[in-house]
Amino acid sequence: MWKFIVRRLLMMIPQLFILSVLVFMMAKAMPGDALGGREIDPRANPDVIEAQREKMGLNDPWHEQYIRWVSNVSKGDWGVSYTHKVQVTDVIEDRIWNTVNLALLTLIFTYLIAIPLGLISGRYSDSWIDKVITGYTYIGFATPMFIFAIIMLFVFGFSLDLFPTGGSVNPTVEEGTFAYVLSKINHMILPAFSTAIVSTTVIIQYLRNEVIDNKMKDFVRTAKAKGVPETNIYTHHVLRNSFLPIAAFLGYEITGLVGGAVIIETIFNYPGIGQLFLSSVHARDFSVVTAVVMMTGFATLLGTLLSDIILSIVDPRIRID
Amino acid sequence: MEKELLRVENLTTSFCIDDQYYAAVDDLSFAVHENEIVAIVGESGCGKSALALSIMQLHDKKRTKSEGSIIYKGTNLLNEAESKLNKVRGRHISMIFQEPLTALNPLMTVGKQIEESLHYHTDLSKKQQKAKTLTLLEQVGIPYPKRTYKQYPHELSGGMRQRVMIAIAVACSPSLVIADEPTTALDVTIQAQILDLLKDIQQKTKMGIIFITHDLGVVAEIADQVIVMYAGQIVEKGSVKTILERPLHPYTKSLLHSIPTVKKEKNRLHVIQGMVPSIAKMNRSGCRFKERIPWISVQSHAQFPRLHEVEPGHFVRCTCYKQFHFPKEGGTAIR
Repeated sequence: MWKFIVRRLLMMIPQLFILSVLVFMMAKAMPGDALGGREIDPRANPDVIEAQREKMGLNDPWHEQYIRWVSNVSKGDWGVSYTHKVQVTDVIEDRIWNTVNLALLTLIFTYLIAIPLGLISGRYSDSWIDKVITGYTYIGFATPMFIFAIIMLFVFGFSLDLFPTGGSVNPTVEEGTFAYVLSKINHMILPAFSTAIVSTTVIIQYLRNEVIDNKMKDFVRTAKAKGVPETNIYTHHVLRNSFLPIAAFLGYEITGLVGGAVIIETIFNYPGIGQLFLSSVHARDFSVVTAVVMMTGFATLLGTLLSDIILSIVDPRIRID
Repeated sequence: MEKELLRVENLTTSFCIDDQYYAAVDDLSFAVHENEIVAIVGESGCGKSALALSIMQLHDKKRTKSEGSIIYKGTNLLNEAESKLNKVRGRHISMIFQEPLTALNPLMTVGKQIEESLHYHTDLSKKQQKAKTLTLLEQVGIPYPKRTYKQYPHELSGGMRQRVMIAIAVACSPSLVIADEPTTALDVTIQAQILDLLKDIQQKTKMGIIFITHDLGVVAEIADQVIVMYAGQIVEKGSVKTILERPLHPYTKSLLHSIPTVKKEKNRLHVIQGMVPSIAKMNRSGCRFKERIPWISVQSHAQFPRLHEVEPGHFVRCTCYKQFHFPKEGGTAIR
């Protein structure tokens, strides 16, 4: 098991290397740079700006800049954010926990919705309740996430005024108190629920299909022949077998959430990595953009590794060594 | 005569296909006695497994309809509620399935799967259940019961898995076991071992067995009574000696004629023409086998042949068995 994990982690090095080249190339291919945006005083002397570009190495060919960047990163230096004027690591550190917490809450909501609905839908397939649930999943499939998010924001944030419409915490509460934690959770509920309500539909359908598939398997018939009552057949035989792909899906789900964070955090004006990414792209803040992409790339690879590990734990037929 | 265990009377099981019911098991009657092995023989699609599942009532109730009666200990199982049936299944009547790999839960240890039967039908404590399971594993000839107890089905060989299936079936000492082609998925040497094991357990416990197979060699080895099924009906019924030595129905004769023997090797092997009709296309009247013996043309084929007793205990459903013969060498019998 440990050998497998170490091997997979080592395999990530070339993967991340290729990712870094691509990201760097594309970041540099974007028109403009950090000195050409709105952040710069329009009255500034173009010659001074050009001299500054030369000094920062922004005029060098991309591969030279890349080599410089890699050698710095290998020393642990991710560079300075052009817009925030501090170390990139500091900028990310400020926001990463917001995104991680939001992702966790989203995951909890997603599975809280998916598991009961998927199981009911699969067990009572073709009943009216199954039709209601699959109907919901089709709507969830077809509607882009941001539409749900905007509706939620409008209804629960503005019209009913039940939840805050932006930020990650009420600025008046003191850090470290219980009220602070509550305020943080309160700020996460709307964005997390809006994401979950859409991302859960895939899992509901997966689970439904798995349950329908499993309830017709031979071993279920064996259990019936043993005299196991119907409900226990579901809890003891169908359930665990149906959870296999769902468990494997968990790792990939995390990956999806990182990507989804860009949209949801922007809509809810939630200070996380996603929002940081989008604003950094606008400001051509390359050092932040590359760092964020590298980080999400790493999270993706970890997610797939996590999926494999979970699967090997829950399925005795898959053993990693 | 031993005590009667199970009596099936006029059992008809129909499946719903496109809003129409078709009988896969058609008006079947037979009985199983204590300490008796009844073999049910026929090609694939003859309704053998449908019959087995009907007795256990494991068919999907929404798409299946069973009529007639299945009488076990004075009660008609067809009229019992699901909760009552669960008390019978596994406890009084249990089942061994054909393919032990898919019939066992891949995510549950072998031990737990055997214990499940004990859990629902006995008052044994957890510890006693485990002890009983280990004894059962030993009884069915598992070499290392303690190790196997903790193993998963995929870690066992086919023969071992089928032994586990048998352990599950006999866990609560049922009076009747339905074995649905228990040796079909196994190779010949393992087949013989499994048959010996079943016979051994049966002799010790005096249980009745309904043994479903298409292998006449197995029938000769194990059965007391033989029921030959064709297209959902019983076509011939009798003791194993009668059926194998004096078969009368053309179908039984053809089946026996299709077994390769060392002596006849220079002759071409007999092949029964055509195949079993699908249940939607089965004749509703007349002989259902007549299409497969076209060289026999008998007027009475158009009538519905009844199962009649030709000698004590020997029943045949045929109107032409006296005229039946196999076609000449190189004749129409070849595909």
